[in-house]
Amino acid sequence: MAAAKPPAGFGTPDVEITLGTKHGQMRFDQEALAVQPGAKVKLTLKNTCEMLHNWVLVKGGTADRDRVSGKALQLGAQSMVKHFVPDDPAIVASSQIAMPGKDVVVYFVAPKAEGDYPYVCTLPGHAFTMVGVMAVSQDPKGALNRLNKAQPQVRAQWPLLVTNQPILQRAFVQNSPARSICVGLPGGVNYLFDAETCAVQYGWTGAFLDVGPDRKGRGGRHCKILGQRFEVGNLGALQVGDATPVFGGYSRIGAPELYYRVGNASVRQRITLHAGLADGVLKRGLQYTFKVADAKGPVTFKLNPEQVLAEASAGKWSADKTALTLSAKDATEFTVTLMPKN
Amino acid sequence: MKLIQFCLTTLALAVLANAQPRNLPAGYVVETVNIPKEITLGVGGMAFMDNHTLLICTREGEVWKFNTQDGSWELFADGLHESLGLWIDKQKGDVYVMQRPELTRLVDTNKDGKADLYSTVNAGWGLTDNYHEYTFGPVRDSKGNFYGTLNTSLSWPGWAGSDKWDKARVHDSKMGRAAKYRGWSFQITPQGKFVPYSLGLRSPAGIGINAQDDIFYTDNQGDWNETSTLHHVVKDRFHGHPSSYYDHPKYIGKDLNKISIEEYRKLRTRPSVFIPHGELANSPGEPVFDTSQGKFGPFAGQIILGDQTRSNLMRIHLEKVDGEYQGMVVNFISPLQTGCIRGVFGPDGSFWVGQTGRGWGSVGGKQFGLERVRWDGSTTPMAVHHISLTKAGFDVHFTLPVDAEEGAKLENYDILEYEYQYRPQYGSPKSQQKKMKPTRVTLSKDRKVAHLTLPLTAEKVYQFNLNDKLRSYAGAGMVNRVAWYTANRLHK
Repeated sequence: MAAAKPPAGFGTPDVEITLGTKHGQMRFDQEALAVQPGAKVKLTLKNTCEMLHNWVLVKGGTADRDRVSGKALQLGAQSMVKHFVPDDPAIVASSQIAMPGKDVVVYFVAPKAEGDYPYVCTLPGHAFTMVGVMAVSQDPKGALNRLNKAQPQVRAQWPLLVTNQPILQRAFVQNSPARSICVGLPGGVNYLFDAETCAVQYGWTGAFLDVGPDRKGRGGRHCKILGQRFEVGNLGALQVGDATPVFGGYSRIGAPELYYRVGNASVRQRITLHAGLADGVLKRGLQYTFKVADAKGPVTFKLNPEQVLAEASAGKWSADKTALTLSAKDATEFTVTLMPKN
Repeated sequence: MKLIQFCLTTLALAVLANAQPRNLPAGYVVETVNIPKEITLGVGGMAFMDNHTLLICTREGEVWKFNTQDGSWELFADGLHESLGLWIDKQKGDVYVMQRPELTRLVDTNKDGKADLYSTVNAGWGLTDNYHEYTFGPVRDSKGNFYGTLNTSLSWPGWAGSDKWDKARVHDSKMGRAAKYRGWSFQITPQGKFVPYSLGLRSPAGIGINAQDDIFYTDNQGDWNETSTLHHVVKDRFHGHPSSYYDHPKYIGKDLNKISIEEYRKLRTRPSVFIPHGELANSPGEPVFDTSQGKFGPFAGQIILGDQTRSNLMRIHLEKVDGEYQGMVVNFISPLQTGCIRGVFGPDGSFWVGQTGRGWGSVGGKQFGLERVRWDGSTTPMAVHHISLTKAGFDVHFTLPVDAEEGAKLENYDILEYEYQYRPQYGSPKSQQKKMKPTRVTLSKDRKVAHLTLPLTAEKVYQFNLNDKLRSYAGAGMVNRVAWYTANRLHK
């Protein structure tokens, strides 16, 4: 993709910014930028990843940013043509898509009004972690310091980071069961599955896991999730009769598919990232694809509806939405989509 | 990122000819493998897949394929929870790996060289977040049963890294039981059933099996364990650490503190071999039977045992006396570059040593490593081959004929008799020490055996301090001149 020429009459930029991407981490290499009000800006987005990225600067707060990201998901067939940039009055500036290993350039005039302007990559799944803030200020240096200080610092001894492949690590994790399985999905969404109860305990967005406590010294200490935890309404494994679930392992072809047995029934559960819209705003969540074989009776999926919005491809919800019941036939394959409320 | 399979070619083996261990018998050489800097190889288990592929699982939860011919490394599996042992089904190509929470079968279903199916074989034991709840193994017997060992839970205040620490401590000992079957050995049947097997283990970091399906594990000195030890695993046997009685069907609900130390002593089967703490071992690893049939030198059938703290290799010779195993331990090679926790014989009869030095401090100081010990195929070093109990005393077997004159002198055989105290405190001093000399020494016709006559007492350890004058007929001296024999039983 050829670098865009400055628009006619733009003149010489006052400031040139090069913004990179952290390889495989679904993050910009700078999450804080600062410019003078009304400055003529030349921003180069250097994409060092093997996936597509863009850059969209928004007026307002994170709610406006997430609305824009949500609209980007609805572009459908127009997505690539529009470079995942929807029409929205809050958009101040936006880049075209930067292909893997390529640069794109944006020329724009910074707003006259001082303030913090969020920026984001609006490609599907990227908007949870690929974000930053550009301060427009008479004192850009001071503003940059302020933003950098406010950034939550990821202090990790031994971070595991997700690239373009899902990553799986079994470890002790703070406030989590001893038989935890942590999975990081490309797109910045992670979850923790308990091999004892055979259920997802919670999810989190952001970087994946600090395994330093397990790999320094004698090890065996609690690893730390690197990001923002969200709830999944966990009330245990699929129920088939009153049998206790027994964990059976997992496949790592594609997104991990986890296996367990409940009595005679064998359950396969593939968990993928769900980027959905809640009230028009982009929200991260998880999608469970269940495949149940040899169930002798109905299959029930229970959850806490106070924590999540849930949708299912089959079965019947109880009136209070705490239980989804499916016939053995419907349970052969169905999906449950979870959108956390927090 | 290690997640992406990568292949690294390095200089395969660097022979550090000028950096050989201080104590190295003639005919042996130690080679150190260069490990690419991208790999953290805290070795947890090793097994050969084929003649040139050594599979290594690590404390960091990865399984690497090391090509012993061209020195390349390839990731086979990752994301495991502290994998401390491997077993390979050579017919099917399946790899079994012991993780802290379960025994797992790794299968490469799509034949891309990397495991993609991680299938749980069994997870029948309890697990908390207490960091000391290690799971060791597996070995497999000829009937297809797997065996492993489960560490007790650490119960020192503030040390466990968990609120689950002050559980089932007996007589104020320092290790306890925070979850089911801690301190047990276990069997997993070919049908995948979990069978609690023997109890009383403390920190059983190494497990081994011989050609007769006899299973042995090593334990560390600590509470209820006098010194480092080697134990013979037999179903329902109690090895000495009482917290595991918490899960014994006959003891469930009983107050284990009401059972006296003396009663526990009667219940326990003594270790087959005491390994003197500080002098020879501090934290022994995997007992590996020399199955090389002479390709590794004159010690075929003996156990080669590494130690994680002292970074040495020892030899153990077992014999059955009155129906039970007991025997001799002697240093073999020391020190290697860092803690020796795992070992495996290669198809060519060389001995691979898997190393980790992280966490407890190991002689040498490296964080991890891989070394190979080779025998030149012809040189017989002058050494104590083994010591056997006789009705009159002991037979000291040398690898070469001993000097006729010196070999027959009483003063060249200093012997220290002593015993250990079985007690809940950490370790035991050598007590009831008695210096002895044989009353008579005669040599066998080939001068490879010295027959020693001396009065013996059961349940004692005999330490042999052999004089430097005990040289081979050609004048070769012995590198390791101190050996210990555990005489639990005497010939009837």
